[in-house]
Amino acid sequence: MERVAIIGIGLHPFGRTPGMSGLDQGVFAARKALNDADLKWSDIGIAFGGSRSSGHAMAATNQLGLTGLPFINLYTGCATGGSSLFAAANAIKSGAAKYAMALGFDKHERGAFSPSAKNNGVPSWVSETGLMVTTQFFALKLQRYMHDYNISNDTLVKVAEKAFQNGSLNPNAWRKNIVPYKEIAESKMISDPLRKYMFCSPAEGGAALILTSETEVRKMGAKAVFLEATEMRTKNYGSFEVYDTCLAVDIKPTATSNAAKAAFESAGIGPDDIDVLQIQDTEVGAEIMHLAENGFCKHGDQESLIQNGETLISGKIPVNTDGGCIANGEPIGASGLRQIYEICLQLRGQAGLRQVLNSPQVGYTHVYGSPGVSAVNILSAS
Amino acid sequence: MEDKNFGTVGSLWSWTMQNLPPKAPYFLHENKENFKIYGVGFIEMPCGVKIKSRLQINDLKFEIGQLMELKTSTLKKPNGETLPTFEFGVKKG
Repeated sequence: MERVAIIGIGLHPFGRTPGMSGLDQGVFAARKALNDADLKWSDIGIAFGGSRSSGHAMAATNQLGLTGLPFINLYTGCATGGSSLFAAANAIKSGAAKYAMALGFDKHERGAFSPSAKNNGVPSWVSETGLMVTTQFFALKLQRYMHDYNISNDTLVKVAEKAFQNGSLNPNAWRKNIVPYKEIAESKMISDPLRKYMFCSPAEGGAALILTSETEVRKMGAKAVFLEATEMRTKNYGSFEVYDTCLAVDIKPTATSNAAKAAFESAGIGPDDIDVLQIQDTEVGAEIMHLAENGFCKHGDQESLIQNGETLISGKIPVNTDGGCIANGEPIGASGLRQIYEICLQLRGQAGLRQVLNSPQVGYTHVYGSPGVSAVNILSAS
Repeated sequence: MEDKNFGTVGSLWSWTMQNLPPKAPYFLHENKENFKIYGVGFIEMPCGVKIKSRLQINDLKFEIGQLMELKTSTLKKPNGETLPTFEFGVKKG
């Protein structure tokens, strides 16, 4: 089947931008992406976008232009960016439009998200009695995982240390300062075993991607990154996902594992063929566990991989080269698109100080959202 | 749907602590100064199902695999109303 190509990428720096709304940051990113693709907004035939806290993505048309295009607002929790790309890619495959945009932006208040029980199909007593806090889910999943697969506290600290190191090399990151090992290891305990500097925080930012077909790229003679696979899965019975109030007798593979498996099957390649990757790192444990769930190592092998520096920019499988969610913060609508933006930069050889050496050819992105949804992409440079 | 009796004793499958007050609609959000740290865990019942629950904190340290016992408790809303709920605590003896 003909591949989908990404021909334009745009980002508004993540972090805090006082005086600029989330929507404005989305419009900024959209214009950057149009400029990168050398297209006008009126060229875009369909758009998909999302935000959690900054209103309807379609409102961007007030500033970009009222061209009348179909514009679909969507929301899949923290996986919103991945879902926008999934929808836009499938619109291109179907022939619905020549050019499609995936747009995401957000501007969140400080502090942890306060998820609604009702909106997630969970009885209200669960949140009223203090059992519906996302940090608890991360901690409970990780605590059990560390017990089952011998992951050390030291490895948790090293994942955070890498995130800040990589963020310091990324001019668009929120956290641009290196945080020393000791400071991470001694930071406030939030939810055992996870400490303050091991989490990403809600933030602000915008990201946009422009897609077209491979045929069109050849006609235009444009530079492009190609989607070898784009897959999305929701939870199935028995998997351990966020906001679960009980777990099944036999725990089954997660939405992430299922999306990853489908993506590798459809691309016809394996995890060993990936040169650079983005893995949802809402906190350090998520990066560790998602590495195995996506197929990049066996459960438990993360301990030696990380201790040996293999996930650093200079390692065998560089993970979250832009600092990931931990150094960039998480504007929900934009976060999944930021991951793809970074992989495009890496495959185009434009990642500056954090460029993975020896011209990476194949990249991977994974995003995870509540209440149990994952989107995965495999991208190639040619 | 049918009722099933899971029993009252299980083993601790995973645990964490809630060290910061959750945001609304958690009952105690209005008076943060009264917030008391609580535990959260999954208890694996003899049938294999794992139930998410608040954990009672005492001087005992949590350890995966330790026996936990079901207790009833009451949470107080800011308006004075109470909500009966359940918690698990480390089984003694």
